[in-house]
Amino acid sequence: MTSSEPAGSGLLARNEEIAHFYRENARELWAIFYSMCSDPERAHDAVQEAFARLYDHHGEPVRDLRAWLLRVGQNWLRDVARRKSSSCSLLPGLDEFTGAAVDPRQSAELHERQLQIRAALAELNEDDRKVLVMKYSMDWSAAQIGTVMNSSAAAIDMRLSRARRRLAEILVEQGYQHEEF
Amino acid sequence: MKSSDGSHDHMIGQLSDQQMELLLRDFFAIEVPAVLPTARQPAVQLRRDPVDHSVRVSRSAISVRSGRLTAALALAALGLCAVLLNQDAERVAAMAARVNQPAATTDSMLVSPQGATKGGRVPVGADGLLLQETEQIEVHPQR
Repeated sequence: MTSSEPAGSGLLARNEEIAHFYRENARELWAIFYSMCSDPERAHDAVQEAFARLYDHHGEPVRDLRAWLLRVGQNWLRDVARRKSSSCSLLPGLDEFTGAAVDPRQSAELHERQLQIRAALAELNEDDRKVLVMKYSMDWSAAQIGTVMNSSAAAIDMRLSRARRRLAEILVEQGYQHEEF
Repeated sequence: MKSSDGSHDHMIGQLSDQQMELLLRDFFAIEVPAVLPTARQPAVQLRRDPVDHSVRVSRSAISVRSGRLTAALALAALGLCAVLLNQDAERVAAMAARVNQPAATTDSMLVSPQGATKGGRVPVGADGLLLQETEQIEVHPQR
C-alpha cells in the first residue's frame, strides 16, 4: 500500500486492500504475537488492534504494511503487559464455555495441559518459541521460517530440534507426564 | 536421556521427539483460532464513507441554496437603491423648482427694484420712505 486517500471510492478500495492483507497475513501476525505473549486470546487481540489502527491511520502512507502492523501489535502487547498488574483479567476458561455437553473432567485436564505447555513455551527464548509457533501453528517449512527470520533452512531445522528438546526438558522439570492425555 | 541428532526415535527426558511433535501439533490445534474472523473495522470507519457522501451532497445543496439567496438579496438591494435614488431625484427636482420659482409680486420689498443706485436715494413703499444704498458699512468700535 503506497497511498491512502480516505475519500469515497478511494476509501472503499483502501478498506478492501486492508481486508485482503488481513486474510493473507493475519495468521502469521497472530503466530508472531503469540510467540511474544504465549496467550492466544491476547495475540488475537493484538492482530485486531493493529488492523483497527491501520483502518484509522490516515497520516503518512505506510511503506511496509507488515512491519507497521508488527510494530503496532508489539507496542500494544507491551502496553497490555504493563497494565496487566493493575487490572483484573478474565476468568481462565470462561471464553471456552459454549454450553456444549463436555465431560468436565476431560475438559479440565485438557485445559490444564494447555496451560502447562503454554507456561513451558513461555520459558523458552523468543527465537526458539518463534520457530516452534511458526512450525506448528502455521505448518510452515524450515525454508519459509528462514525467510522470516533471516536464516537458512538448515539453521532453522537445528533450531527447531533444539527448541523441542528444551521444551521437553522444561515440561519434565514442571512435572508434566504425557500419559495424562 | 538427551537427544542430539533430533531423530524421532530418541527420547527427550520422558518425552521422545515423536511425542513432542504430536504434543505440539495437538497443542497448537487448540491454541490457534480455527478461523481468524475478518478484521474488525472501527465503527466510525464503517460509517465514514456514507457520512462523507451525505455531507458532500448536503454541502453542495447548501452552496446552491446560498447562491440563490445571495442573488435574491442583491436584486432586492438594487431595487431598494433604485427606489431611494428615484425618491431623492424627485425631492431634488422639487427643491430646484421651488428655488427657481419667482417671488410673488404682491409681497412688499425693502430694497430698490432698480438695483444698485450708487449712493442715490430711492423711494420705496407707498409712504415715501427713502432707501439709501451704500457700498459698504463702516463699523466703529464704541468706547
